[in-house]
Amino acid sequence: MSEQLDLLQGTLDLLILKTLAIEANHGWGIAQRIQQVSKEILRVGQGSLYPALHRLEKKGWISSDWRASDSNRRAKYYELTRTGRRQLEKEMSEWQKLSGAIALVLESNW
Amino acid sequence: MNFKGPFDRERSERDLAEEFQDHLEREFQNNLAQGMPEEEARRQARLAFGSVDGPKDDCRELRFGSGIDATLRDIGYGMRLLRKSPGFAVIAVAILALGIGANTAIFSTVNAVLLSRWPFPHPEKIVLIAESPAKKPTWTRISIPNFEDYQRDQRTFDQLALYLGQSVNLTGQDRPDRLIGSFVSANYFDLFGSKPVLGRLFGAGEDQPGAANVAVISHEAWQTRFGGDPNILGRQLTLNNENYSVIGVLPAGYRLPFDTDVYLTAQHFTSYSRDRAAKGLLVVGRVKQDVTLQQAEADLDSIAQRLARDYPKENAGIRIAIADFRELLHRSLRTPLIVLLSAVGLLLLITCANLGSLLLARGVQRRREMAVRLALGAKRSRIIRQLISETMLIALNGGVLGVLLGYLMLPLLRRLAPSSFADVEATIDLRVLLFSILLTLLTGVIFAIVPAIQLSRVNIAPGLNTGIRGGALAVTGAKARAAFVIFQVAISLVLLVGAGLMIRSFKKMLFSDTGMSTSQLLTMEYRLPPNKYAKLEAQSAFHGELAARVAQVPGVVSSAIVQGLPFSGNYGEVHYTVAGEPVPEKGKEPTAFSNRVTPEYFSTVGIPLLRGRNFNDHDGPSAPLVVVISRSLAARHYGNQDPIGKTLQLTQAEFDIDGKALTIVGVVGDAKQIGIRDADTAQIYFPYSQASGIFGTLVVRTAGDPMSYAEAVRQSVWSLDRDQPVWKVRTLQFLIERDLEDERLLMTLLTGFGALAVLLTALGTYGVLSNVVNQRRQEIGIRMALGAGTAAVRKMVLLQGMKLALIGGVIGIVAAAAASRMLSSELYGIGMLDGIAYAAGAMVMLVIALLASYLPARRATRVNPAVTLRYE
Repeated sequence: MSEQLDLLQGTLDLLILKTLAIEANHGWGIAQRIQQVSKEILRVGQGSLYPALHRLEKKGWISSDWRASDSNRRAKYYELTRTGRRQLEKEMSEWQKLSGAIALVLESNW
Repeated sequence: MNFKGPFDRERSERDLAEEFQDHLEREFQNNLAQGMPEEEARRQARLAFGSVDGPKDDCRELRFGSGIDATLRDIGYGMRLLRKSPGFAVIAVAILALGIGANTAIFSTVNAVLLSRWPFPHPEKIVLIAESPAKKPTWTRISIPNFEDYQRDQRTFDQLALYLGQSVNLTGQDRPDRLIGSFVSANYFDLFGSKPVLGRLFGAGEDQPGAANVAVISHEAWQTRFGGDPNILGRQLTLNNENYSVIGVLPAGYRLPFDTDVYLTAQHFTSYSRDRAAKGLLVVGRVKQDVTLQQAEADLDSIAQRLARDYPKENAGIRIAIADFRELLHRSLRTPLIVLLSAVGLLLLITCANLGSLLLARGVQRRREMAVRLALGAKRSRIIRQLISETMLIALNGGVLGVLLGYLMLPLLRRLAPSSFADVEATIDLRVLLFSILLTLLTGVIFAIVPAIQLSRVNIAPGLNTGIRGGALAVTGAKARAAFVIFQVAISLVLLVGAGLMIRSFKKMLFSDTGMSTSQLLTMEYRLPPNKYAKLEAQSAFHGELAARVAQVPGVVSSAIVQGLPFSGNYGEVHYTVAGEPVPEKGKEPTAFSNRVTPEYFSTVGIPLLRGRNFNDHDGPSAPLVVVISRSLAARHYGNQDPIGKTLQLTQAEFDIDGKALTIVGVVGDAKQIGIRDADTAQIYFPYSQASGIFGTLVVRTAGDPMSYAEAVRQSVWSLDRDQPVWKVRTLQFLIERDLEDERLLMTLLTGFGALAVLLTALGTYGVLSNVVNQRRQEIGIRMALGAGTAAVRKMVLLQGMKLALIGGVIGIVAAAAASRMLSSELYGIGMLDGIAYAAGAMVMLVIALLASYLPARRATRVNPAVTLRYE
């Protein structure tokens, strides 16, 4: 397997929220999307994915419901709630602040 | 936190499974789309997905993790596991039940007996109060005004009362007498919660100057001094030359600090004064239920300091010191109580060690299971929590069983215990019960968790490995368990040795030479009314005639009268001088017991006549005064010489024998007078025919059971004098056994606990060795396959057990030697390091260890080599 970057729990939450901000999706779909958009660098194992999803649901930032999928299977779809959307905005601005600060430090010459 | 019901949970489980299944399916489809062959696609999907359990666990955790739900599930799981290993469960519960239940029951019984000696409510709250500058409890008397100030201003006592003992002169009863008196404040009886058996006790205000002259008498005084007068209430007594009216009688056996005959109110005390500078009386108090002794002391102390300031002349520098009033009494409970508490504590230690050892062993057994679960992603906290619930389950069962056992054992103990315990109502002491339960619970939890904690710190891989290599991890567990067994053996041995010492001591006392032949002796006391039998001749005629009449009763072997019956608590003491020896300083004369007897006394009780002659009819009031002395008295002054014919003199005018010379006519064997522990047995016997006395104890040797002759003997007394009462009808054997009560109690206590300790240790040893056998199955299998016989295998296991027992034994003996110091004051006839007691204790322990090792050893031989080699 290619390198996997250890994703901090909070960061994973952020990625999931962002993914769902675009459209509702099921677990596999979310992982795929993250993987694709990050150009295969970020791979989320289901060991981290599903607990994260359940955690986010418990916090009320995402909600779930079962929808019919092909054949006679059901799939569980998650979508962002209104509080989730607000949380996403908050976390995005914090993330930008944080990463900006890190960049500053890394680029300095002393 | 939501409480999700079981249906909810099932649905969530299904949902989760379905969600995962969906994920898997999509991955599979994705792989197919990328061109993988079907099988490969499926495999890759599975691989990519990885373990199912971890995430499942976590998700479950998130939803249901904390909450009653999870706990219930843990308990259910725990129950299933326990049912799979019933041996472990049964032993664990048994250990808990015994350690909690039996332990508490024995403690409660013995404690109740000890406490029964103080028949008033909450004796631990009754204190003596002293005013002393150094704040040390010396028993100083407190002035009346000070006392009243304390009484008025204190906040921490229910009652404060005055008392002081002083003998009073009883006159106007045909013959002066001296009674033991106590001067008390009106609330004295209230403080002790006493109730009269006749009439009433003192009421408020009766202790003030000018109040009526009233007196309360003891039951014994009523019976003996006043002949059980049915009209005792209202009877006028002249005490210290004043008239008092008897208003009440206390119950029989009522023993406050001094064996008081008559109680008078404080203001009648000869030195009573309301001057603050005058010494008053002693003060006793009952501390309030919810107040500690320290708080009470501080309370009074602050009042004392104020009094010191306000009255510097009279109260300079006074401080208050208080102490438990039971300290005053001779029958100290300290040793038995300390021994009792130590024994209970030791037993709890054994129980915890046992439990701990068992849990450790089990933990080691389940290492593999736990390692696997951890590897599969289970959280450590989850496993720990589950172990705790399992332990709680055992603890619950053990605790409930223990409580039941405790309550059931109480009546059993009552039946088994010696008769002196039979009339004591024992109830389970809840403090000890609760403490035991909590302690064992704590131990259980700690030792259940230890294996789990250990495991996650260590590399999991060895834990997953099987068989012999797995044994390496077991080593730490094994060492701890071995240590536990050694520890238990040592403690059990300490208790066993203690029991052994007390048993030996008790036996020695029981069979010790009292100097008499003590079986088959009936005794009763009487006191002749002095007005009826005023003269010496009348008295001695009565005594002599009574002895003769009783001897005629069918079944009576012989009878006699003695004044102070050995072991009855009655005795006389005199100072004397020996003719021919230099006269010692006044007050430094030698002392000896003194007694009056009829001639048949010595033969009736079995005291041998060693030299000279017994009293006879010639020794009348006008004949020369004669005495018979005991052997030790003779040895003291005459060595090997013959004392017959030599003379003694009493230094005080006693028995109307006013300093006259007394000729020794006989020497008899020594006999214990007060109790078995008497060191001194020098005694001077006077004949009733020469030394007057109205008091006598009838001693009757009977052919059969002494008590069955009581009525017949009483009839003889009444045939002589219709109106003469007798009392304290009992056998000499009873009196001797009563003397041994303390020792018997300790013996029973230690034996009981010792037996319990041994039982628990046996269980523990058995458990540990069984475990060892289990764990070393493969090794045993290999050995047997290689040709080792059953005997060799058995020996291996036995040796292991005996090794532990031996080490524990040695430690135990050393510890016992140290601990037996506590008992040394109670031992009789044997030393602290009595070889037989130690040997016996060690022997018992060894045998038990052998038995406990034997069963697992036998099981080891049943190991089928073929099976074990294939095991796992």
